[in-house]
Amino acid sequence: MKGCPLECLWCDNPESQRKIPEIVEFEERCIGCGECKRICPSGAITQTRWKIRRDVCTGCGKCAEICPAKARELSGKVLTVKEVMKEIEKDVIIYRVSGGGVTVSGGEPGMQISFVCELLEGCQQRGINTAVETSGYMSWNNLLKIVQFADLVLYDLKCMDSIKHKLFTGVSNGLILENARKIAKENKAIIIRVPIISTYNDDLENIRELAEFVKDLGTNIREIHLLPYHGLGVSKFKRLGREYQLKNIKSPAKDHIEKLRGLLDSYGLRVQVGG
Amino acid sequence: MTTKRVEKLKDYVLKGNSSYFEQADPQEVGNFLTLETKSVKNNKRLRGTYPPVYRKALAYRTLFREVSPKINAHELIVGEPIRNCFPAYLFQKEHALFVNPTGSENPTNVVPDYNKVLTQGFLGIKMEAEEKLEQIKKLGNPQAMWFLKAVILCCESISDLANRYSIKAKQMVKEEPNACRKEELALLSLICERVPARPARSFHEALQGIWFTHMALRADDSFHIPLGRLDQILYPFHKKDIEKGVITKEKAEELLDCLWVKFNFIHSPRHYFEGDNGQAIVVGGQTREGEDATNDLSYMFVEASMRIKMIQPSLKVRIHEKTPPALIKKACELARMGTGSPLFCNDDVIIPSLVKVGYALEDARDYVTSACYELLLPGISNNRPNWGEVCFLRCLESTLNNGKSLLTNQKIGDDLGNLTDYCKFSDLMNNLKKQISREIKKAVNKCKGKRYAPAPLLSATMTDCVKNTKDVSEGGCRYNNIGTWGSALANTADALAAIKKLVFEEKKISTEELQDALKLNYENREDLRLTLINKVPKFGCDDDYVDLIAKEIAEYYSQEVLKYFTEDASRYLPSLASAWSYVFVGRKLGASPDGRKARESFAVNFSPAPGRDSKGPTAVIKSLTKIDLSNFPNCSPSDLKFSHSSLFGDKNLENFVSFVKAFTKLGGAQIQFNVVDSETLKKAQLEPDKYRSLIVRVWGFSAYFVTLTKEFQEHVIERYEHDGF
Repeated sequence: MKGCPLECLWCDNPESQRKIPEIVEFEERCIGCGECKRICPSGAITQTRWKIRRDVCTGCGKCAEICPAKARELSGKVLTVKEVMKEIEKDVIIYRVSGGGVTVSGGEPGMQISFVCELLEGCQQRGINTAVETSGYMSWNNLLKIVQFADLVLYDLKCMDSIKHKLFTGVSNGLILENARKIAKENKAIIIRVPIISTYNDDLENIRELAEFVKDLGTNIREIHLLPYHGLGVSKFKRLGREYQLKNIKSPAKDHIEKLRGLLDSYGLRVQVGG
Repeated sequence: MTTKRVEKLKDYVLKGNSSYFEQADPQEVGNFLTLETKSVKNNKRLRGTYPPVYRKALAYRTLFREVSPKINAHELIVGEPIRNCFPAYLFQKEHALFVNPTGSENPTNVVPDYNKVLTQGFLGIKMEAEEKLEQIKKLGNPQAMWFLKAVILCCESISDLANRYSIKAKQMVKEEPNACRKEELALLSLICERVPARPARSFHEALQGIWFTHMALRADDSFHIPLGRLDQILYPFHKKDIEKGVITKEKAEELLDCLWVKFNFIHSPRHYFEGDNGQAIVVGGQTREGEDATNDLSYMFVEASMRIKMIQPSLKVRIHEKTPPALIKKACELARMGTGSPLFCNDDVIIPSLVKVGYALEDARDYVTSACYELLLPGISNNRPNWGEVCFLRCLESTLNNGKSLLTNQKIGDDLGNLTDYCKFSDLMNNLKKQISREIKKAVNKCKGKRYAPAPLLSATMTDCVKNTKDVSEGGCRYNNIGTWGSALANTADALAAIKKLVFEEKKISTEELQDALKLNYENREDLRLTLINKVPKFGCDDDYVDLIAKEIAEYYSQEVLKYFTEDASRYLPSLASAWSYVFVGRKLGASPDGRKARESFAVNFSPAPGRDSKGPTAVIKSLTKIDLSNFPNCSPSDLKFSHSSLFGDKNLENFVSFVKAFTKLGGAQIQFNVVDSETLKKAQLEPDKYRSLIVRVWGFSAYFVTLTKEFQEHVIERYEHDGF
């Protein structure tokens, strides 16, 4: 789902942050035919400048449609539940054999509640397993709504310290933690997902606090997934004409990840590294 | 874990044998035999007296008497490959009798009845032939008599060769300082005295018997004589030995490892692709009665391949509804190691496809594959699965260009007009079908009256040849069908979809504009070429628009081929495969409307065009299985490439197993995997010395990447690298 109330500095899929359609640029594919310049109705692409003027671009997608080389692609498409369901049904046999299913993530599914609910309900009716990945940043009622047709909830906990959380993601974590406590009491299987970003949230203090918090949530929490930063999102920012805020951040060292795993383990929590 | 012995044997192959990576003349390298043998044809007394089949047997006798037995240090399975020294036995003008579409005089893609070899022994087969000879003496059939005499002579000759190995081993015992090795050599001497002349009595004897036979069958430089269902054949020996305590599981594993390494001693003929030498072993599947045939050896064979990690042997795993999940899991573990094995074969599609064309059900359940993937029946078939060659893209080229080649203007099809003459897509499809029919007819005509040269030693190992008193080449086997390739389906479907959508439906391009661009190989029309690539659905992305076009062509082709019969009422069998034509025929074809440039390779086998399957692996198998693959009884293998890291870890393995199962449930027939990163491949191109052991799957076999020519390397690199499920 496109659109997210958070703006995490380390986001791997920045194209999912803004709700509106956006052009993603692949300059290396360009063959210089000039069709995009000719067709742009807003003057966002000019004769002298290849990169789109983001302040002028309306996301109409005409340049992406006409480009033969796919040097411009439109991220974000309006779809009906029926259209998405058609795509989903293509892999039904594979879901049956593997026990897999459909996960709705983003962005934030909670920003398009009625769509998400209708889609997941449709999946469940067809016997397809469902999951929702959420930041938890919404009213409790809304959160309850989007998980009602989910067999599994993937709940992100980015950082325990409220001030740091605001710095890193743009919002504070009070509501997120409160919702976590509440949802843990519902009869749902939950996996906690924790992105691990070096020097930002990978310190032992944060993980210790996280461990205590999750332990208190109870037995509906099946697992914690530690997601080490891999930096695949960096080039995406560039392609969206945005600046990447994290400078010189490397993937966390393997032995540090193991240390964090050990720490969570000592609280009796099941940990998986990777998604 | 491989034992120290096996590591040393591996080293010997990889390092000690310097011809392994260079295309050196094997006679210059000390490890293979070089031999001056008396050419039979120079013997004036014999000239014109004996028919070719008997002369061949004499050649075997001469060769096997003169070859020096060689037993290498540490070996437990012995027998040095014999190569490039088979005595000439045909007179110059006789070669013309055995010209056939494969370019190989000797039969290829014939699988011996190893059960027969191990339970009768060659002296037992000799007795069978002698009895038969007695029976038919009064009937006055000289051809049958000479055949049987040749079989008798071959049986004696191979027994003789093994006996000479036995003597050699005995000699080496005297000279051997190490007590342990002394014992081993003494044992080897006894084993070589026993097999393959007499029935095998133990697992070790059975392995040695198979190896001697395999090696002897290649002494005339035959290749593509696969091994078949060795897990079934060897199981009784293994079971008995384990139960009686004659061997432990570890010892059995070591023996298998020794055999596995031994397969890597055999190189492809010099002009051929290293790795493409037909040493294919099949595990799993169903018994003749339709029960699950998986046994301990099925697992042990896969494990041996996982330990040895070399390009031989080529393993195929048969799966069906009742296959134990553990075998599928094990096979996937092997597949994700990236050595190119195994090829997965789905019994539940393949067996019905064989029965549909007249194979008996019990026979069909015994199927194996050729070197690559073509479907054969062990012991009872002389299927010539690669005698016919049809290329859909070449048919399209001639349909769009007045029956002529775009590159040379030579006639390659009927003149039915050119691209600008079409105003309706359906007319184009109809004409394409006419060209396909024409190519099939041409391929069939090329096969008429053709035969292989006599193969008395091979015939001795077949189930029915002695009984029928006929050589393999003379129709002595139960089944004698002929197969035809059908290549470039993906590119052809992509091209047709492009014309249908952009020319006829959206009218974005005129037929003239497209024709000009094709003739000029898209010069100055990169925009058009990329439009054809990017703005049209591609085969392999689960899009009915193009998939149903592919289905229409494939099924038409299948129906057409199945209309033909040979002189002896055998059938022509269609396949969706390319072997090497994706490079060699690709080179002769001009630019195609799917955006492919002139002379570029096309899709390998029954796979999406390189790089076009961009919607994930599940979309690929959805596309593939819209076609009813039980209509392709020759074969229909698909190739998929995954990145190395995408299959690591338990979760990904689980997904991989599910994927393979889903493939079979959807109606897939055969699938094989490359598991390698394009980045690594590109590095290997720049620094081959550092990547000597890097293995890839080419079209039906595994090869060391650095030994492939550039075009074949590029093709593997260009194949779409799937990153997970």
